[in-house]
Amino acid sequence: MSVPRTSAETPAVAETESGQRQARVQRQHRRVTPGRVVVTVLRYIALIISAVLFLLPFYLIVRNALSKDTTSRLPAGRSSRSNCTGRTSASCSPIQV
Amino acid sequence: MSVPTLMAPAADTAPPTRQARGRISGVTGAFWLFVGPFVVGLVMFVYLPIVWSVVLSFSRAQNTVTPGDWVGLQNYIDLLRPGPFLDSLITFTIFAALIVPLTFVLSLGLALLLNGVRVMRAFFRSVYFLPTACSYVVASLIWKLSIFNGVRFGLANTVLSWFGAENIAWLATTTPPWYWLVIVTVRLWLQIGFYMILFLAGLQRISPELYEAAAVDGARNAWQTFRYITFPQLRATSVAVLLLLLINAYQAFDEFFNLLGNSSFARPPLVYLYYTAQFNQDFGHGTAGAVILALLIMIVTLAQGRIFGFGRAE
Repeated sequence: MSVPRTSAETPAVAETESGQRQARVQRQHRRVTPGRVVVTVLRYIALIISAVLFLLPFYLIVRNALSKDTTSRLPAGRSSRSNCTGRTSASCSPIQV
Repeated sequence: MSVPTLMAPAADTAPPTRQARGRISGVTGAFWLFVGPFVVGLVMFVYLPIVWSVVLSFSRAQNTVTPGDWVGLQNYIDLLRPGPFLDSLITFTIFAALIVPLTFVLSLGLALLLNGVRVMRAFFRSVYFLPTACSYVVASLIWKLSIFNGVRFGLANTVLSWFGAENIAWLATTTPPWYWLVIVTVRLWLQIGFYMILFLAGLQRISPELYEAAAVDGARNAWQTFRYITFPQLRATSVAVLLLLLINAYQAFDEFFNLLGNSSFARPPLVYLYYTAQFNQDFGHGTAGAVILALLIMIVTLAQGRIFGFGRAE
């Protein structure tokens, strides 16, 4: 007598357990934990650093386009040396390449 | 009442044969009107030069592009002897060994990072994709003149000087071969964004239910999810990306030409063939090298497709 009742109830019980487990997992997914916040912050830091690296050459392109020839190869904020008076940068520094 | 309705279609069915014929010839005419110019262009500027190159590769064609002095396989034998062409293939192999895995890993990494954020996703995606629109020549010049110019005011040397390191002549030093850093970084900057977009499209195709199922089944951390769900689901994208990367590596020319010119220590096949055909006017050897390269790309692509199952149903 107990066999048919068990076989009828088992799938329902399993389904309920599975549903509960799924709901628990979904709740865990939605929950904001300190670890999750740290991961998100790290993710954004990596993205921002990468974005700066990707944008840097564009900055150099624009800066060089708006600079005189003697200063176009110098890093930002550094003025050309006093002996750099020619039109080309050859007199400024010994280019090794 | 029913006769006219039955007759009407019967009357319609007789002329349509003639009408259909006329329509077909009209469609065919329109097809050739639109496609014809492109087919003529394709044949004249793609297939004819290919056939011409193959014929020329069997001739001694010095200072001429007219096949005449038949030398058989001599041009191929000359190229496949130990010498600059084989050296250029070694250069390519090193380049491919560096650029293919690096681009793959970095573009996949960026796509994963980007796929996990919600705020400013479009901004980051645009920033990473922007270099794809930049010319290889412009990028090479920026790398050569502003970043890795070898003088102490160069950006890379300035950064090194913060740590007390000596200046490095990036493109002139062969031991250690710093020029690889310059060549690889310029190409990484130019192409990562494009492959990141491909991976991003692949990632967005993965059903969220798979991740939920993995979580229910006990996938504990991000690595397990990536290992068992994300990466297998990206198989088709990964294979396509690998294939494109390898073909692009074979066709490396612009950055090598603009950064190193005709230097003997890092000259990929296309640069060597360009100098052979353009400066030495040796079109026989130039076209033979091009045929060898095309065959090599074809064999590698087919082998890769066979091994990884490119185009096979998942």
